[in-house]
Amino acid sequence: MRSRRPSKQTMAVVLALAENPPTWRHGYELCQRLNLKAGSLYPILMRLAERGMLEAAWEEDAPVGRPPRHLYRLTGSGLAMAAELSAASTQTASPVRLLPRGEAP
Amino acid sequence: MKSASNRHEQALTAVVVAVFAAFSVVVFALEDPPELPSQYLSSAVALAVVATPWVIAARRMWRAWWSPTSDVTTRDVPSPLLASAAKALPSNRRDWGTAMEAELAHLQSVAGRWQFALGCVRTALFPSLNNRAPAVVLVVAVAVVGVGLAVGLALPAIAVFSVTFVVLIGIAMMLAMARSQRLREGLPSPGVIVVGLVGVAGCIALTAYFLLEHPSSIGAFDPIVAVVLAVVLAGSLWLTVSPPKGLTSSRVAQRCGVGAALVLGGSFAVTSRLALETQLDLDAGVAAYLMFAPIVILFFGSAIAAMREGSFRAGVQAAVWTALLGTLLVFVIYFPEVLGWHRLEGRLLLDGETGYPVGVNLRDAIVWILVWLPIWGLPFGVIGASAGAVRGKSPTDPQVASA
Repeated sequence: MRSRRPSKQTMAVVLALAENPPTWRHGYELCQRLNLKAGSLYPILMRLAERGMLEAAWEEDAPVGRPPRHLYRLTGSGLAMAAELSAASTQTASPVRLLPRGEAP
Repeated sequence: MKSASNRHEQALTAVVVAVFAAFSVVVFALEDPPELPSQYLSSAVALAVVATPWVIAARRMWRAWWSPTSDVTTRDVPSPLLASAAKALPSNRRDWGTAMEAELAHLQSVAGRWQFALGCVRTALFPSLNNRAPAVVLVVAVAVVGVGLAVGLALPAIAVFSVTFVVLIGIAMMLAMARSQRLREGLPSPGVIVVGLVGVAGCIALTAYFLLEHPSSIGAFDPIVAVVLAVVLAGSLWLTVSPPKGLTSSRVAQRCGVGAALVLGGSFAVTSRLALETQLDLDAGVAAYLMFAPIVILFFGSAIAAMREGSFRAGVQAAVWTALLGTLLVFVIYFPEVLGWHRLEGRLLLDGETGYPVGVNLRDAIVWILVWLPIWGLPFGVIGASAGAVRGKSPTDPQVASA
């Protein structure tokens, strides 16, 4: 099957998750960090998970009175994809990076 | 707490009135403006008559489902909003809905909660098609062009309707494909599917036949009316084959809905036939029937469903099915009846006025049956559901708590 180049936002999510691979991250944290809306982030996370690039788990030490959150990190194939994207982005003039919230362009 | 609830209900009332006022402004803009100032007054009275049942129905739904004193929710709107939208996700993605809801529960700021919830609602209701999107868009585009050309050549008068209908069905198909397993989940009962499909097919076939056989109807079938017909029929088809889960949880409600719809259609046919055979009240047409019968039939149909299930929600479901299916049936029956009335001095079926070309009935049927009838009847169904749920409440019935 032909593999399509991921969108800029997907690349940003993958690279953000690859910065510290063992660390689990939750959805809102990624929204804040990448300045992405939930309506953009969750479809990306769903697709990555369905392609086996993202691992998901429920939070084990959720604060009292709050439901456990879904946590995400890259799988082995997700990390391989991140390495490819990282290599490709360093060869381009404008490396992939979405602006963190509040940072001026 | 009570004064806050009252404020919410007053705000809800204002929203309902504003919607009807906006609708009236649009109608005035599209139609010829009234010639006499008194006509504005009568329009305002008519607006109040139609809006009042909706205000009552909206307040009943608010108290049952959304008010701070209801059993099923809190004053926080983003949470129930997201919870409702998450139910639209297919079963293989249901975990993601739970994940979004859990994430929302950790957010504190009101603006942040709204922004996050709305983004998630968009994801749940309009999931992406992934790599199937180009193929589906191509198929829909080819279908639109093909149908447009074919119908445009065979029956130009119905081309606007056909293209709009195919576009809307195409969009609905794309949503269904994005949800992949959605169609197999929560199908309504066979009775609903049969009546709904026969109704939609009958409405399309009879409209086309009427336009072919009675050229005077072509002038009454302007693009706005054609688009209205397409929107209503595409929406009806979509609700019939892929209704939201909130409409399919009660089989009793579906049975009551089908039954009440058949009563509505059957009584409409009998009313018209009796008037023709007895020649009494021909001057009034079926306007009185359309004014009073939906009130009674929707009220009692929904009340029975709510009473049997002990659930307000079941009654509201029955009201929606009755309005949807009953409207289609009355529209289908309208056309054969029109011909009988027209033979008597060119009478219109709607109001019995004489001397009109038969084609005027097509516009009457679309505006007064497909649009007016459900708008008028539905709130009485909701009010009936509320009354039925109170009568059918049983302390031991677990559904009462979730009504």
